Amino acid sequence: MTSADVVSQGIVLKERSGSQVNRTAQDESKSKSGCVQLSGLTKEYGGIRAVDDVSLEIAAGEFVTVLGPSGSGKTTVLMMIAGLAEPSAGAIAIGGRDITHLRPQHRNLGVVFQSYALFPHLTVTENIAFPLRMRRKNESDICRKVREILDLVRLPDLAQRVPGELSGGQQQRVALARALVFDPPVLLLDEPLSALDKKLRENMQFELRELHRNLGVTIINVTHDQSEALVMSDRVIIMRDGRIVQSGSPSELYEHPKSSFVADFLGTSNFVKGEVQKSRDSDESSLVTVGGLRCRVPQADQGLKGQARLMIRPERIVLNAVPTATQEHFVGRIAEIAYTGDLIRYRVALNDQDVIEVTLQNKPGHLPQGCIGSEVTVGWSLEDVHIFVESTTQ
Amino acid sequence: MLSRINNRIGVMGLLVPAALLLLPLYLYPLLEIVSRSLGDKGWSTGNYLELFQDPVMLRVLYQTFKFAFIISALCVILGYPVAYAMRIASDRTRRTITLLILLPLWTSTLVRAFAWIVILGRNGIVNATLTELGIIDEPLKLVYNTVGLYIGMVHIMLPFMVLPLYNSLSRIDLRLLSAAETLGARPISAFFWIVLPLSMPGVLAGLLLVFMSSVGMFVLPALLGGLSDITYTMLIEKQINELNNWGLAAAMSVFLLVVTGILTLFYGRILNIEASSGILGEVVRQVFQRGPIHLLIWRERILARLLASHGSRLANRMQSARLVPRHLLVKCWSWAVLACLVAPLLVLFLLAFSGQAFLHFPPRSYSIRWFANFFSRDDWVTPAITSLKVAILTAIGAILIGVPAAYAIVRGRFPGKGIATAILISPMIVPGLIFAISLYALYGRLNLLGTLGGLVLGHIILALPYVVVTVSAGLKSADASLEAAAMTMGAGPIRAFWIVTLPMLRPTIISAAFLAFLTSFDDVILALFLSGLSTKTLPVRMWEGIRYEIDPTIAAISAMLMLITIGLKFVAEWSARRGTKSNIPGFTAIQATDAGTR
Ligand SMILES: Nc1ncnc2c1ncn2[C@@H]1O[C@H](COP(=O)(O)OP(=O)(O)OP(=O)(O)O)[C@@H](O)[C@H]1O
Ligand SMILES: [Mg+2]
Repeated sequence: MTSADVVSQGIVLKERSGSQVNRTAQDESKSKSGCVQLSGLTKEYGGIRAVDDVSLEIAAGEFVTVLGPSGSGKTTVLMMIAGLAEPSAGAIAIGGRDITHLRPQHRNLGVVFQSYALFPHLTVTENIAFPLRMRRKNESDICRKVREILDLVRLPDLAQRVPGELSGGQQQRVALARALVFDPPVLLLDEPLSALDKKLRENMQFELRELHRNLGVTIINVTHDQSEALVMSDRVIIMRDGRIVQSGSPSELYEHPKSSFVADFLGTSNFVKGEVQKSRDSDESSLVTVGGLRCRVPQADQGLKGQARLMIRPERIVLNAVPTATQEHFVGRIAEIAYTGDLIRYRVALNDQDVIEVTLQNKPGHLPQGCIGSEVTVGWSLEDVHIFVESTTQ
Repeated sequence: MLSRINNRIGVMGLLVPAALLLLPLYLYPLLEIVSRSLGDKGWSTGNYLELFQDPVMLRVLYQTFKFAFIISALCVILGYPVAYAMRIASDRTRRTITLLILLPLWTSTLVRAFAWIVILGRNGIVNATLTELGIIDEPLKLVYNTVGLYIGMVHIMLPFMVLPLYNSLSRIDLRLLSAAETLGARPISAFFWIVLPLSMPGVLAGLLLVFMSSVGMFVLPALLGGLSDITYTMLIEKQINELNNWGLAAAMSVFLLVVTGILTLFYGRILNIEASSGILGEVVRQVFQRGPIHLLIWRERILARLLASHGSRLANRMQSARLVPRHLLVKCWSWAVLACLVAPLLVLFLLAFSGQAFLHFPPRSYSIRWFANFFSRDDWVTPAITSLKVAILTAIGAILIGVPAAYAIVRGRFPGKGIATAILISPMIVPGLIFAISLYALYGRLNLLGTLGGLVLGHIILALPYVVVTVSAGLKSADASLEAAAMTMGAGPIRAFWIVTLPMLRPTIISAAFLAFLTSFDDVILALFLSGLSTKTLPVRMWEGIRYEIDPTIAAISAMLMLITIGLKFVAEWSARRGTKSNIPGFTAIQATDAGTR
């Protein structure tokens, strides 16, 4: 585990103890059984490593999101935890117990599949009662639990419908209810919101968060939607080609990406390519682009050398501001303006080669007068700058 | 330039050859049967009254339905795991299983009946082996009784059960099973809660198809059944050949036709029940899907009551690791069933090369003397040549009539198209014996009995559905716009067909021709009634041979027939695939309807 992970977990645990004082004793025992440990988890498909040596420790009650591009092995990790795919190597432990070779039906994990996998021939009630029936609960318990969980996901009126008669959002809630009804200590979600439209998705994000707060269940969520990951999770794990590239709290990953891949994957970023050189007159190094731009390098990155990329977030750039000592500033021309409602995106050409994007809030007076072709100054402060040396970035 | 509408109606002309064949030699004889059933003069229901009042008749009717029902049930029990194994298997295993199912399907009924006689007979392989091992003193009676009938019929009907079952299982999302497992279901519970209810339409379709074909069974019960195992169609034959009671035979035939017709309608509806929202769909859903679920819920309720202490048991189960490979039972069962499907063919094939005069398995020595024997005996060679002649003429005729008809059905748009299609396809469904006796009556009056031409015409009618179905599939996948393009460049419709469509269809037509050839080459029932001494076909000669002697020569012939039919089916299948890229389900649609002729 990296030091960043430890820090983020510390934060998470502190938050938890603050917000969940009213936990019952039952929840306490769950919090012990809800921790998940993956060590050296590997899955090979005919020589190709879909998951490559993934080690991860997830505290009980944590909301972790695994984020990565398509084919990066997210689903495979989840399916191995659920017991639906057999790891080629490595071990999985839940609540301190090794479950690597346990059958899925004995793992007691709630799983929500991307396609929901609701049983089409069973009513909503029967779908939700299914895990309880498999556990031979008695009928009055089943009735009570199903009613409770239907209230929780706010679907009490649809109990007798079959899945074919439900909307996508309603199906999603039924799938969630079915995965939660037997009080599993850990809930696995495989892109649960990807089939929903934007509005509904945002609503469901809040509802999931709320459910998580109320139930104290450990949640491992898989997605390739970065905003979903940032909104919902205590911790985000970024995967690429079967490996974990970085993990940490959303703000940590966003503010301090360790590689240009992470920076590019989370949010939008400006990259300026060039070479880090020592200035002739001072000891300070700066990044010189092909277009002739000379950008100062922050204090921490002074030791770097060679081909590198400078990254700066578009929202950290100011237009036409008064220059101060910590700020870099350049003169450029507005090449393009994109109106997105709440934000306005400007593309500013600093020279023939270097074009950077600037986003400003859509507020009156905030915006520079003028339009395409007019001259503006562009400025940022040095602490918002990240330098990624090419040879170590992927 | 012809207007498009005129063109579409003008296409109807292509149905004329089919109409000239089917109206006088298929529809008219069947109508004649209907009219005969109503008495020779006037309209009387006397024959029907007799049919439903005669205790013998009722007993045979009941017995036939019972046979058909038990055969269907056995097929479900044996076939379901096979279909399920096919569903969960890898692509390669699935192809192997498909092949193992199709191989027996491609082998003639007579050959398979003979194989079972050799295996199960008094001195057959099973009895010989058991006696040698000292397990039994007296040979078991396994054939020429109801047991033999069931074994033979199940062997023939099993593929017709597995294929619709697979079709319906393949539509089930396997992720539902994963979901069930994560929710705590053991594989067996997942099966009863999820797979079985969702595959119910397939089960029903398979049951209907097998039942429908078994009710009309004639060849198999006559060869493998006992003296008292008389089926309905055998009784019809007896009314004609022994009692000369045409009125009653006609009434019996009409009744069977009506039953088959109703079952066919249901079959068509049930196959795509998911799409239909009608009463039938609701009934299937409520009774056959929801019914088992309610049973399961009650079972769980009772068990939950009884096992108040199940918590500890669950905890114990939690500890157990994966010990048994997944689906072990299903796989073992399936491979055993598949082995039973194919084994008779292999046994017969080996016996054909036996060096001895009696059938001992495995043969003590090998020779080709039985093949030599076949070629040296005129009473075998002459029917073989007749069969070849008839089959080749049938193939040519069926193509000449069937290809234009298929073209009209696919490309044309005219009133009555649905009915025309139904009539063209129906010879697959009409029980073989009924068509045979209707034609027998007509040929008797026209003096066509025992003529080569008469038999060929009958066979063309039998083969026409296969040609029409195959060529229609080919035409549907061929691009109609290419033809239209040729016409815009100045080619008339006939030229456009000739230079554009026909070359594209060539593989399909070759495939259809092989199917027609085999339909004729395999036919027993029609030939039994229509061919006299001079035009005795090979299947008829074999029928006599199997009934009256157990001769290794028949094993040799069977081996050759197997090689020929399986080889031709492979060629047909291969060339159809090249033509239309037809996948297995499409292909089985053709094969599945094959059941009616057994
Ligand atoms: N059953 C399988 N057989 C062979 N390869 C597989 C199998 N399942 C997954 N893979 C491969 O493993 C890799 C990871 O797949 P996985 O489904 O875990 O990706 P993912 O991160 O979930 O992607 P997505 O965002 O598209 O769902 C992919 O390259 C995929 O092709
Ligand atoms: Mg995935």
